[in-house]
Amino acid sequence: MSGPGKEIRLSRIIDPSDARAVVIAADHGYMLGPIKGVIDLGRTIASVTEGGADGILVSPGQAAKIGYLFRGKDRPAMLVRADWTNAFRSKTYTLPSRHVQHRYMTSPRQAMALGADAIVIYFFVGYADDQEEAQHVSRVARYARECEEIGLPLIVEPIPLGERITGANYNELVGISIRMSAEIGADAIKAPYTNDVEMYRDVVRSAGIPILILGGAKSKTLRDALEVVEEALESGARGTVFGRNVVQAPDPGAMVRSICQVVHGRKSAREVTRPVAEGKMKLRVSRPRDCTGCHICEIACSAAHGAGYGLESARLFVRPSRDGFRPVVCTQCLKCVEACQRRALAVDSKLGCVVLDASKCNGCGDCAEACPVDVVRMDQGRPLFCDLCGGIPECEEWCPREVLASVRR
Amino acid sequence: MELSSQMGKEIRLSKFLDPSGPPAIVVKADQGLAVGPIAGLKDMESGLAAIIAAGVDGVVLSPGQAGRQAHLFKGRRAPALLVRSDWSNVARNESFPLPWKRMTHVAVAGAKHAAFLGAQGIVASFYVGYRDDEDEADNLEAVSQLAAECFQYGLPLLVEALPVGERVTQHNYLDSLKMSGRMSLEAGADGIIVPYAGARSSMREVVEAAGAAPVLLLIADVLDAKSVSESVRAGAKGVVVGGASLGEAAQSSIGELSKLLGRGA
Repeated sequence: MSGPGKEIRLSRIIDPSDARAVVIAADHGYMLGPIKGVIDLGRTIASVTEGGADGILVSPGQAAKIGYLFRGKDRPAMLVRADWTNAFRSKTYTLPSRHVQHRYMTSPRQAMALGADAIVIYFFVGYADDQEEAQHVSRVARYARECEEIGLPLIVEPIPLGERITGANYNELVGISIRMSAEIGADAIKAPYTNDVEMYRDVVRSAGIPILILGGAKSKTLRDALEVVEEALESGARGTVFGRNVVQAPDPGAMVRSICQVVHGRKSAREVTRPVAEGKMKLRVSRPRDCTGCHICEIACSAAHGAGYGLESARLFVRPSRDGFRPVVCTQCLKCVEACQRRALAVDSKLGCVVLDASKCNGCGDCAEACPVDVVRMDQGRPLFCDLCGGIPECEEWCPREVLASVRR
Repeated sequence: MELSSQMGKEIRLSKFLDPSGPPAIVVKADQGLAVGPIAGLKDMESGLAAIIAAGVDGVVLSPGQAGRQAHLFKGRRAPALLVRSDWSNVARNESFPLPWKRMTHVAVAGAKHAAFLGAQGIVASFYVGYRDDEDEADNLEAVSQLAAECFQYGLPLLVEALPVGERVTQHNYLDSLKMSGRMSLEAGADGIIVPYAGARSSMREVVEAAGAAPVLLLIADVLDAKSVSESVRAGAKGVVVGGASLGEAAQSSIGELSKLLGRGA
């Protein structure tokens, strides 16, 4: 990092309180035209802002038109896309690219005039002609020097691209192109994650500058997208730059809030995506023959209830069966409730599971004796009941063979 | 095609002069450039930290200090760094070891250097009342050139418009103030900093003279409640507090000013 201006401006994107950032890319129209999510860009940006994004990447033309959305102390930082390419116009787009073109359209000074806190430019490796890579290096270097003069952070997006890139060399080239970008003069990196924590840890260490990982192509589920972020953060990445996953979401603001919970709130993707239970539910052994007796369900149950990783405090158990193994879970027959003389047990009105009023319980154990499947256990004088983990049973979540399944009643 | 627009200036101005927020508080901590160390800012690091902790929107620093104190301006919650672009001797009054004999004014930093330093805005002075008309012309020329450069980098330019010197009298003070504010606007200022005009009605005339540019009241005494409240009622969008008036009790003084401006404690 050279110069106070770069430090101050980059800190408007990467929060100095936790050294992390959530940036949303909304510059797709520049490269691909009016794709879903950027047609009414003002609306998308307002939603993303409300969701708590640290920065938003826009094209120079949009910056000049809707820059007013960045006015005010509480607004996100503005990142301006300074270059253009046709590299992403694949066969699914109108007029697919025949030869990759890359041009610089906006100078760092022009981006400053637009109110930018940083500019973002591509750096491709994998050109068929080595001379083209050299020219691209030269262009990045020219911008790096100009950015240094005016204190504008330069965020480089290195991408291995073209026919020389294969499944075998892709991950290595991600690391190489990131390091090259840092050497040329990037202040931060916007790059793909390689889905390998240990390998990426080396990439992060080698880069020596903050890496924000790409949200990537549209994920199937929110949890899929957030799990990638969680893993990348574990490897030392400083945050994310999400694009289509956010701008094409039904509620971009809600999606940004979820990402912020993982990036800044340090929550797991599981925690963030855990839905609020609606309606009564029941746990079923849906694929009993697939149980291998691994006991992960019991361990997950015990751990989820703060009882460590033993099996003694689990609200279910695995027993040998004629075919191998079979989990035994609460069937909600409510015989325990009927057996309780002190009326310490009741049925949860939302989920339908059994709940204990500990103030009324004398630890007599009648409920455990009444249980026809023996899942009610006594622990330190008090019975343990399956509470369905508030709506997302951990046993079901962790079972590697999907033997257990919760169903709505 | 030149893509520069007013957008960068508008966005950066809104970071310390938020049009949807309460009146702004900006602290001038650039006195060292002209008069050396002042109370409360002898140790810049701790003095500035106290001012920033009190919750201000912007701080004016000399270019030299801006480079050294950049770490205090990190993050979107930090105040905006405003860089002083010029030097003058007008603050050197009779109590100063070397009081000025002739009002002088020179540029010390341009917009490009302010951008390099991370500035969200740049501050210059425009004085009327020079003994020699050529000095006024030089001063306005410097402000105009700076304004043109600020356009290129999207940096808002705040101009301190001050009637100073022996030619300024009680009789011509208000007209001189209005004239200096309006001339600053015409030269390219995005905000005008002026001293209190003496009455709410006079202040309103100054605000009107400044036209589209927001007016900030320059106060020497942080607890000058009458000037502050009358100016805000007259349309001023904020207050610029001279660091010299803050002394060692910067935090409590700014807290009082915040309450007065309806910004909470």
